[in-house]
Amino acid sequence: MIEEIMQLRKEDLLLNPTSRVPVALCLDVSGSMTGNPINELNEGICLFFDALHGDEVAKASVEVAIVTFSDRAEINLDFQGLDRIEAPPVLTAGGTTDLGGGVNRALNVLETRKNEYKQAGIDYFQPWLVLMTDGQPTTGKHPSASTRTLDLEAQGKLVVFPIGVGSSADMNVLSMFSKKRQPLRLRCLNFPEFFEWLSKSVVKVSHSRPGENVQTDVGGIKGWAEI
Amino acid sequence: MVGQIGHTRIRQALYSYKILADTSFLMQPGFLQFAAENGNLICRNPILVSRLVLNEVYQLCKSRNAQKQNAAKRTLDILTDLLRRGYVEVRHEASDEYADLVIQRVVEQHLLTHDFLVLTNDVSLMEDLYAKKQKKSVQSSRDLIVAKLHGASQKLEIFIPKRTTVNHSCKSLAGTSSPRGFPKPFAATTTLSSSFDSKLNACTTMKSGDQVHLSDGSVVTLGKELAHGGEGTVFEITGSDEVCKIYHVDKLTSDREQKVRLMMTRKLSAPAICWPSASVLDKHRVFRGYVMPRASGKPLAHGLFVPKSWLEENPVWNRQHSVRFAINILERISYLHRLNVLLGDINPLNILVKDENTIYFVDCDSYQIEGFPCPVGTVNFTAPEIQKVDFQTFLRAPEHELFAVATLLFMILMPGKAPYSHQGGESGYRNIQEMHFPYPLGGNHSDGVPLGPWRFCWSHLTFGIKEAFYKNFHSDHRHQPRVKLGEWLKLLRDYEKLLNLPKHAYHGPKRQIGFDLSILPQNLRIVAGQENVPGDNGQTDMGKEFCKLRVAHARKGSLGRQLSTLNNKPFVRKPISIKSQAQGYAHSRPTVKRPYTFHQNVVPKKTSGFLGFLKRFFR
Repeated sequence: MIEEIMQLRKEDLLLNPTSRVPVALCLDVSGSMTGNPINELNEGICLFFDALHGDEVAKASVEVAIVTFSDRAEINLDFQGLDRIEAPPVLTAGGTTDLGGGVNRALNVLETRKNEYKQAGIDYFQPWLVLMTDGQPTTGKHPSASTRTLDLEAQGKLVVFPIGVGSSADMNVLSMFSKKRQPLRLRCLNFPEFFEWLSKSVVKVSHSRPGENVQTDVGGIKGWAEI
Repeated sequence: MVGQIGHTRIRQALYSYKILADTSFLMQPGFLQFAAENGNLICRNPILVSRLVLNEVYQLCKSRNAQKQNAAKRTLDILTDLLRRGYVEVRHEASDEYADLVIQRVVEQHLLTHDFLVLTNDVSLMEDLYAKKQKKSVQSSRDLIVAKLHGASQKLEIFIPKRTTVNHSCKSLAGTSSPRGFPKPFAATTTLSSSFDSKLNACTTMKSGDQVHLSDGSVVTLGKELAHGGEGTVFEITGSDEVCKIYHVDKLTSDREQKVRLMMTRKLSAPAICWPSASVLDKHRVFRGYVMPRASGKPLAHGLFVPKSWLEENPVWNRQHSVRFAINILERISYLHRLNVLLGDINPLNILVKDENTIYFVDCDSYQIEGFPCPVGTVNFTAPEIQKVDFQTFLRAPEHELFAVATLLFMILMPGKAPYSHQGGESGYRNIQEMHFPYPLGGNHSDGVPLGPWRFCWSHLTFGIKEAFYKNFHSDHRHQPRVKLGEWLKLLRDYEKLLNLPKHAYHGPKRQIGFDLSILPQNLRIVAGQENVPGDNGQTDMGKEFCKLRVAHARKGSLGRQLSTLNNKPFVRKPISIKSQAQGYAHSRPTVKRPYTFHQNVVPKKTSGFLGFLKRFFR
């Protein structure tokens, strides 16, 4: 079975000439997300995948990984061709908030995928990291994870979207993860709208070519978030 | 204004013409300023200087005239620096004896094949050169510009000879005579339109059901909205086969109107080009857009350039179709070039494909026509010498277009793969700037060919085609003329003939002698006499290629889920009731087309993956 998966991963890499946009979703699934928040988040992710499936270029170009963090960080979905994914994993909430561990894991996954692209000779766009949390980190790993993230961002090798969920999200901690983008706070659990915006932006990128400057529509962001 | 036009023309020459300079020019006090201001251009297209000129400057350093001596020393310092930076290159031929004559000889020798910008402050050289140009212009469509640094201001200006009249726009893509029935070519202009661009006074947004006036006097009704883009919206016209593009109100400018009106002066006989046939006016008679033929099909970017899905939809499509398709595209581009129209923004979203013979060129209003530039472009199709230059500020040269054409052809024959994608590559922009072309040619070694079917695709091209790509893309050929449309057409027609001969072509995936007709072949091409590859244990080259790739193990956490996908156990989604529009999406989910569903028909182990995939399409 593992060989089978490896084989599929190789095919995805080698047979597809399209430039890739790797997107890592790094999501807080701690206990405080239980109930409505996690349901809304799941719905938002489904919407995201549907929107990407609806665009032929994005389908060949965008690759999504999902890393969740609570007591520990976990890879819920690894990078692969979008058309392999029947439905995204359903996330469940519970536990503490190892935010730093989550970010490190997400960065590792991105790094691995980038190396795979390079080895195969595939063009790719700057990877995206979407970081969402609704509270405060419960471990002390986040300062080092933040340094790593900021370094990549400063070198132009990562686009970071720090997102606070609800009123108790610690915006100061989130602001440690990007110097270029202020963290945004989601108003009343507006996940679907956020993911709709995210899919539009990433589709826009997938239609351009690596190295081209793509303006993401921040005006669209203001509709659902407050800075 | 004249200065402005001259400036644009000189900048364009600095991009792509051969630049020659003599001693009189290099000794001017304004030379350093000139080099500094144009460093971004001449770093890619260096000034060529004869070694005799350097000798002259060196001799002048010993002059007794203190002023001359200082000027010469200064020039020598600057030249040394520019040589080190690669802004200046020294050339010499054994037969060169007198510095004055070198430039004349070089221009005379190469004016049939190159455009020249000669930098000199020597009036007699200027006059001589223009006289030569006049004589040659009968046979040559090449351009020659002579420019000097103006005495007082030390600004660069184009030299205009007294008494003789010189046609500055002599550079032409069109032949001297136009065939019968062929529209009159547009003027071949090398200067940017200097008209004053202003916004048009329109406020209401057009919608379907609105009545509009056409420039032929008729009134029509806008039908269904067909497409919506950054510049405008395309509507059906009720009761007509044609459609119209209505610009967004904020994109309406006098330049657009003039350009469309200019385009309408020619009726094109090639139906596949969605060329304006009439302009659209609102009830206040303000220009709002234009009428054009209706296109159909799928953008190339969504079609052949995503080969896996393309083959799923068009299982019979093979190399013969791709080559015919490429020839059809080239013929249309060549038709436009004969009209002195450059497409400018050649890109796979502007070409719609129904089948290899039914192709539509859309977004024609962006073409470069006379002084109207093509204001847009994408990185991958932009020649290295004009990367990161604002497309609104200059007119593209045919050489720039040839780079885009070569890229398009490459991506048709190597379905979807960009020419500069290579192992360890960086951004598309960097790859193009460095001209790192990874594919091998003859004795030249490959350098980082992408893994996958691409090296096999490459090997199944003819040597002539490979060589032509090499000339366009490889850094060994930087600054050299690119392959012309006529040459491409010949190469592709020859290739097509070969592919139609059974003894030269076969259907994969088994290893055979000849050209594999699959667009994603699994083996390197085998020529007669090389059939027996040592160590060939029945495995395809593609199989070996797969072994080379080290992909990360599917990691813990994701593994379980991926396994469950393969075991035909789709994830169970909890029903969620929320009032957002997400629900609409959730319900539409089962209708989303998923052509590549391994989990639904669990494939036997050995034929799964790539083999299984190929079996479905090639057997």
